[in-house]
Amino acid sequence: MQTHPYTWNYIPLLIQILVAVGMACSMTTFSWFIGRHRNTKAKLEAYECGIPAEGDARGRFSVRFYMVAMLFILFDVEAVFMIPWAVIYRQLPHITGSPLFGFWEMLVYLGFVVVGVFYVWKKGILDWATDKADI
Amino acid sequence: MSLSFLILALLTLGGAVAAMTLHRLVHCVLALTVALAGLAGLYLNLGAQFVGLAQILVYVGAVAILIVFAVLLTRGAEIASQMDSSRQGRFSALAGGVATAAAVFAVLAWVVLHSPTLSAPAATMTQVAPQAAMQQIGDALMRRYVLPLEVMGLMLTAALIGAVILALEEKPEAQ
Amino acid sequence: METGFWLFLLISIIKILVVVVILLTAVAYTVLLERKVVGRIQNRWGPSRVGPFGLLQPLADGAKLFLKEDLIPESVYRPLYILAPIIALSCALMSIAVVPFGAPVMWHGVNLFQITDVNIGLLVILGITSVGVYGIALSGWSSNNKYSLLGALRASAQVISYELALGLAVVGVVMRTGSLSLKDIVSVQATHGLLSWNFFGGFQFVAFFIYLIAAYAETNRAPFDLPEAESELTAGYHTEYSSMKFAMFFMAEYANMITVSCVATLLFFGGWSSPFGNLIPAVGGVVVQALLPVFWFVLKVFFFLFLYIWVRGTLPRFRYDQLMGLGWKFLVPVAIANIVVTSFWMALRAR
Repeated sequence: MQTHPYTWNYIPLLIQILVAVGMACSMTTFSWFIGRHRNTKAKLEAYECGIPAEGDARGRFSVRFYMVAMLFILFDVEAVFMIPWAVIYRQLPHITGSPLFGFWEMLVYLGFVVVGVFYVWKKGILDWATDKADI
Repeated sequence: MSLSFLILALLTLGGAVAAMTLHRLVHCVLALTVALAGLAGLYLNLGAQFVGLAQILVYVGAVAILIVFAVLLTRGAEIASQMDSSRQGRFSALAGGVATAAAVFAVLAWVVLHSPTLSAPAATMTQVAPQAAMQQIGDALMRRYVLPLEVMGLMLTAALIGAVILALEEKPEAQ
Repeated sequence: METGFWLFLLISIIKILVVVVILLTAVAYTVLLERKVVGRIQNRWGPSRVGPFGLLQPLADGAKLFLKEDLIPESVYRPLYILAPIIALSCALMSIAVVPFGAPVMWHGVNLFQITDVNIGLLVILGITSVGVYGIALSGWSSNNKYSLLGALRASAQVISYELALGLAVVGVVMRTGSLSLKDIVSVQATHGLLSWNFFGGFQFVAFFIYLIAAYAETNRAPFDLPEAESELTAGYHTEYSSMKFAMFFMAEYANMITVSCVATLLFFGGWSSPFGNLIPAVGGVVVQALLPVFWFVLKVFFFLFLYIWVRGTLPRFRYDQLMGLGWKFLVPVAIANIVVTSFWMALRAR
């Protein structure tokens, strides 16, 4: 079995991260020095299918993208709280003394999540084509 | 152990300071992300695996992404943050910031010093196996803190509805 | 203690280097496999000139990409433009660290077939995946190109949407195992072969299909390859990238494919456990005993990679509203239903 302290398990993970980042950095650097550079004006322009780029690419975009990120945060927090429940679910009948207690309390919690999904759905936030919500 | 704490603390503080002082908004957001990731590292360093990873999943992976979206989707990213560069403006901003920070830290310190776990110093020193820690969180959530968990679920749904209503209300202005 | 630590460090570094080299080779040959298989699906040969059966093609491709001119267009925002592919590739190469490739073989207290076994391996993979979005979002924004920005926006919105379905799909498996350690998740499935795999015995096939669909979207692969839909967006967020920086996005995509296939194998198809379980008596010496699980693991991962390519060669691309609809209106509710049904069934069985 494992003879070393548990915290050592993070060391390989840390080395892996360093190796991955180092690899990515060295690839970028080497290809910069190995490849030749003969720039022309046309090459350095933004490539938009040969048509000269007009204006700045960065502008305002549909608020839907922002809404997706917002919904993601809220549902992500809800999902994160399900994980400790899932880890302990097998032992819950022994711990709480009732076979279905753990199930019911999570059902209530999931009920809130479902209400949230249903609300967003009905408001048309999830419809990208019809623009029912008019956002 | 203390070396890793030092590195992580410097990373977190550096990220936070950079997030306040840098001029381009995109840089500020990325610095904030570094600060949040450093905080996750601090949690992991303390052996709080679940909290650390939840920090990465929720803050680095979702909240900071939302801010990145907000910055990237508007023209704001181009404009350097418009700070009041006069001496008086800077001073009042600094004073306001320091006052807010002091108030927040005072409340936090008060809560920490009055928390019941501090009165039982022996319990805080015991090392728990990581798997057990994970299950302890589950156990606490399912028994002692059932009500807070459900209330939190309700609160998140309320926040969701609020967010949707806010987004929909902007409609007349956008036209 | 001291020598133990240095030995641990040395073994870890060797493991990491071996795994990274194998991963990069696998990436190169997955590209070749894809070109070959898609070629056959489209009634062509695919690469066949470089080396026998075109087997040296990846080397030629790699050399070509390294020697290409590394162009940085004038309108880009340089620091982030350079940073983006680095984030993308390094995130893709990180998560392999928690994947167990074979049955644990201990040598001086170190498991040889897994780089590290943290107890929250599954959360580590989810966390690293969620950080990967930065590479995409920043590449699109820093390129200052309309196609890139649109591609990046589509990609990041798609990735975060499907990440939710992916996270919810995994909950069923965690419930059955009671642990987030990938090693434990496999060990639970290793007893009765096929029958104890989560896909069959665990009745997690619904979760598996949610996971699979979400994973395809997560890696921006067909039929969800809208971010790089070449008929609409030139090449999406890597339009402005050339030479090795382009290749890095490419490698990140394939490395992510491999990781996702590994995780699918681990969570639903018993990881390194053989489909016959303990029903067939163990054969061979110590070496065979150690390598046979690795063989099964690689075989399953290969199957998933093949499926990826097969799907790409077969299915047409989704439309963006269909994609978002599928993610939010179908996968998320079904994943929640799966959690409810699984937990109810487990509670009834526990009686």
